Amino acid sequence: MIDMLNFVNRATDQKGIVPLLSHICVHDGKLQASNSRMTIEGKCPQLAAHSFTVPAEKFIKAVERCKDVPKIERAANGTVKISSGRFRVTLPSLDAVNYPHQTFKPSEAVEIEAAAGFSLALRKIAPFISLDASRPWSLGACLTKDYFYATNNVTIVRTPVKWAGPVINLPGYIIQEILNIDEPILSIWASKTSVSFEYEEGWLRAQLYTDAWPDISKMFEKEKEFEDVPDGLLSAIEQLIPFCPDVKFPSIHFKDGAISTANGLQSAETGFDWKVQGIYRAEVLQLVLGVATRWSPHTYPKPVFFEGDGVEGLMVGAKR
Amino acid sequence: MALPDYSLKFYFSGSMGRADDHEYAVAKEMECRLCSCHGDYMAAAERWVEISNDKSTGITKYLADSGAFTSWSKGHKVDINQLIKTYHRIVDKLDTSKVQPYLINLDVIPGSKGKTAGTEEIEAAIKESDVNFNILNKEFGDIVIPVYHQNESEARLAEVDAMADYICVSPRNDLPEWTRVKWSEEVHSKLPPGKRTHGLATTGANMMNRVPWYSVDSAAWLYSGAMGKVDCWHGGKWVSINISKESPDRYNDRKHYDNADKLVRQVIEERAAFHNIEVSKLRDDHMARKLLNGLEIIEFLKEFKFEPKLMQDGLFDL
Repeated sequence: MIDMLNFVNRATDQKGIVPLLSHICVHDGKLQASNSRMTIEGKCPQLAAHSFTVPAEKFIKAVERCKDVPKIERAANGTVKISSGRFRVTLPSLDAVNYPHQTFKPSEAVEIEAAAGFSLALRKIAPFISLDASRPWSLGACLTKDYFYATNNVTIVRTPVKWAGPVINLPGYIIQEILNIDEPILSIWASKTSVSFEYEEGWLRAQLYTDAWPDISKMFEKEKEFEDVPDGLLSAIEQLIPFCPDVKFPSIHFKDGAISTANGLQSAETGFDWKVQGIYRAEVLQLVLGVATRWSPHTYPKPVFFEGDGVEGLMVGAKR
Repeated sequence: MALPDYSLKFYFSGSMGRADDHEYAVAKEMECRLCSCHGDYMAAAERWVEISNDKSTGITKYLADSGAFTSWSKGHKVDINQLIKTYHRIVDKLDTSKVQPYLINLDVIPGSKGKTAGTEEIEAAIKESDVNFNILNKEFGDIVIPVYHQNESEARLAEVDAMADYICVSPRNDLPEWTRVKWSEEVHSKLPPGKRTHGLATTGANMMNRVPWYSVDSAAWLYSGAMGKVDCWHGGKWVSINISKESPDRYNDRKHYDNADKLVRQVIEERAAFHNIEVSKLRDDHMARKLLNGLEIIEFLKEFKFEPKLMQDGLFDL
């Protein structure tokens, strides 16, 4: 029961102004929670005899603190009592009928043939999803017929995957939940505004971003002259990063025969046998070199293409 | 009084709250003043015209704001004809041999408070803002400054850039500071080098250090003083602490001058003495705190030197 409570609790909103959104609804042997952007429902046969809505965090803490199987009762005054031995917790509750239940399938949704490697594809691109709300569309991944895309405006990546649904902008926080749940997805239903994922023990339904991505189709079409990423490049860069003088803009400078931080009160340099020029944000390089096996560093200051670990992408450097 | 030409023009905005000698004391050291011409603040705006004209003060630049945002947030709209009269009450009285006036365009803010504007509303608002700019420009000449907002397109930035030599850039106030800084850097990377920009409410440390603004404005010195705090510039860092005798923090360890570390108390005492302000006044009077905070910004500006930073290119339009 506790696993299912924690599964559903992902969708509660503990900081919002609508109290009901911090609650879990127990009804018909199922648990449901919603923060209005995402709803999660899960099977819970242990509570099949009950029907009420309780504050999620307190209910979970009460069940967790029971040393034996908790006894759960709802009193005539509407309170829920959770007890085990001499331990007893009383919580306020509401009737389940007052809870705004969501259904699994969004209206006008069609079933999408569950793409093989759907979750794996999301896992590959997730680190590249932006956190910058000034471009709201970039806070989600763009799912198209042949590729899933993600960008943080400095890099853009795509990974090939067959997607039979409509082109959608799947919010990054939903992707994170799907990855955290880490269970096989049995079916996917999608409309232009909502998407639902069915799991063996429950389901997740989410609102999609309505902000459309700009046209990105041509960005990947350029001629690429790839070369192998040299062995030891990432570790050489990570050796230097703690000594970047500008902590708000840690930069790595490639120059003939060496790699260095920017100059400043503190700085660092390491020899590296190559002929490459360029300046990049350190965390961008870390992200890209975490996946790239081949790249085109000589195109700097124009975007540098890279590929590896099932993704291809491009990144832009910094300029003075 | 000729002040040194600081590398960043810092417009002190907001109303100190009481018309007295404290205003003149900070104005002596101040180079730039921004006043809102919204009805509630017009008396202060006109008083600051007189203060600016006073030869004993350092003010050489006066920026008047239409008060469009204040009106919009109260559900009202500023009338352009009324604003022309209001701006004349400022410009006509300013001694332009001493003080250079600037006027912020009458922006039409799309949507209503609490409701995000749609694309059509934004486009209509931009059109109306441009009509207002042309009217004001015809009336007052090239002292009118158009505004570029964070939710507008890159093509719009090029239009605003072409409208005037000096433009306002307005990051969204509802976004985290790092996003506002990043966006402001991107804007400047797309403007011609040397373009004069004024950052509206952009006086965060990173914002001033990373973005090559020509000028910025802030009322934070007043808010801080009003809330019982003093902000002192010491050894290249800001030391901020509550000092008001009314502050509840006087019962929280190291949160108030009364129970602060000895070194912090010493800094406050030294800075107060430097400006001839008694510490007891800082405890008692918000005007003394605002004066100290304003004078300390000037000390900060004397040391501030903008160093060009690396700029991150982006893949997409603003």
